[in-house]
Amino acid sequence: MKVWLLFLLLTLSFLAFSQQGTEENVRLHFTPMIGDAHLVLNQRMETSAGAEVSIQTLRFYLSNVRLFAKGNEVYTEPSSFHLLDASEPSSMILELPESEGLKYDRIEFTLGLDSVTNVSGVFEGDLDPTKGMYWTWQSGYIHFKLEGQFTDSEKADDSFSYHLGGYRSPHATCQSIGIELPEAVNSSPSVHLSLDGFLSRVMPSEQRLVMSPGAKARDWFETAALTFPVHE
Amino acid sequence: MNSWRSYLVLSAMTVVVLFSFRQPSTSEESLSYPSHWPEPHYDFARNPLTKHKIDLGRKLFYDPILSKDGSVTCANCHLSFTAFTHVDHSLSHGINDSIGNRNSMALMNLAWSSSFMWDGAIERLDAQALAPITHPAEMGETLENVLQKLKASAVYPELFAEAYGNAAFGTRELLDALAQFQLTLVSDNSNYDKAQRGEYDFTEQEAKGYRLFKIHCNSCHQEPLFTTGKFENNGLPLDSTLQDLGRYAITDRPADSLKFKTPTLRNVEFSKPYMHDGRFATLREVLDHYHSGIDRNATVSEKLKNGIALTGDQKTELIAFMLTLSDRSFLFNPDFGYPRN
Repeated sequence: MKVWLLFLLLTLSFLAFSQQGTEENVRLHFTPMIGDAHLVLNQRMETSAGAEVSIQTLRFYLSNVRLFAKGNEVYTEPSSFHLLDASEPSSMILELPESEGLKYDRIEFTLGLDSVTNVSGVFEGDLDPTKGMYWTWQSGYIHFKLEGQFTDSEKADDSFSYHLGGYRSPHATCQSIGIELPEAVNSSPSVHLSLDGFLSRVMPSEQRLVMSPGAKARDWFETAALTFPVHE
Repeated sequence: MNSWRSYLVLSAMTVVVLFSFRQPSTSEESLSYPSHWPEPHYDFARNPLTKHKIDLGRKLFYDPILSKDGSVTCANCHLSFTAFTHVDHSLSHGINDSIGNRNSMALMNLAWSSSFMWDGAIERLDAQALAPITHPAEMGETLENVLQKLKASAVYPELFAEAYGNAAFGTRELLDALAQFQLTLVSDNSNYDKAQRGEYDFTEQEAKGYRLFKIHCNSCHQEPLFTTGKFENNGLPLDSTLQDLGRYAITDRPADSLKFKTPTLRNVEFSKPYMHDGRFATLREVLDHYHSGIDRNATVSEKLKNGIALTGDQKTELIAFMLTLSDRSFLFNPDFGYPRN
């Protein structure tokens, strides 16, 4: 145990030293929004359509992150997959390397994990099935998870649970997303993800529980992808 | 300059620490199998077998610590003496005597399998164990709890460290160890195999059965593994209670309705009852089904549409051949049973 601790300390100090002299990384903040406000979990919030809602869980995977400058791909992140979890603020920030003399003007990534990553068997870090983003009875990752309830309803239970994903044809779900970055990208820009559109579809819907891959999950996933500001 | 010097000092110290740190066992074990078999599907180059990992996986396989109430092990439904399946149970059961909706599959020659479960829901052997561990009618446990129990145990942290050289083991190591043990379950020493090697002569009845097998069965239960690993509808009428549509539930393709994975026939003498729901208790019933029980529904296999024409004697000959696929050195291999040490 002691050896471990020593090893950890040495590694940390090594990392600290090796970071010396390099610039700060670019930090891209993903900020979920409800109405005009930043999402706060487990709190009553009002959508732009006037519905009162409380969100318990928002988690999603981003993968294959690439950065562009003047139309050229200038950075491709290796082993690129990130679990963003609204209950862990630090996970909502994507750190990208600073590149001298280059201004990134566009970021592209995949919402969800591609089929190769899905069956890679990594099972560590963000891909650990204990993160609650894996269908254990049918190998595959949940790409996007949103759970909550409408709090102004007269129904006894007005809750919803969307576990969206799937990588098998014909219901494979992955969405390429490209976002133009503001000019002053080095100032840690924020990407606002509005949940209002998704919630306005949930409200009148009878499909409040989508928990397995298939046609329904794919359909709802496509709506979930619209929470991102620009998509292709 | 200053930071360069500290870098050197730190590197030197790290090297010293690394050498005093416990190294995982790296002596690799190779899987032995007959040279005329196809290449395994499992990528051993990427993830070689080691003795410590196999032993750890075996211990886990036989340990009820994986189940919620400590009552069920993998071996409950996958018993070595019965070709690693749940003998005498048409539907396998788990904790609190809950009944599942399928008959557990026999486990052998898994390194050649590219999908797992009757419906192929799982594509990797190391992902497979997640399903029974977390299924409420099987082990009913959460992955977090299993890891917590293993970490708190008096023996496992040491065993994981020996196998993986990392005291902070997690999901990846747990699943890998279970897979490593199961990969070693190779059955290749039946009388059929001995006949292929010229060490055994089929009786006249077995030889006749082998000829019939090659005509009627080999297209799906293909030698030498006695399965193609593909999904087929073998004409079983739908069980109106279970309503199990098999592969269709996974792919959502109507063409996959009522299709199930073709199981191997190796050790079929011991892996009763038969079919995904264990509806047939004997091999004779299975052959009677292929002879005259085929339900000609939309997705039934072309080869079975008209049933298999067999006389009573021919059924007996086919069964005699199937019994040559029993591999007692596999079933009673002391390396595969409950680890006593």
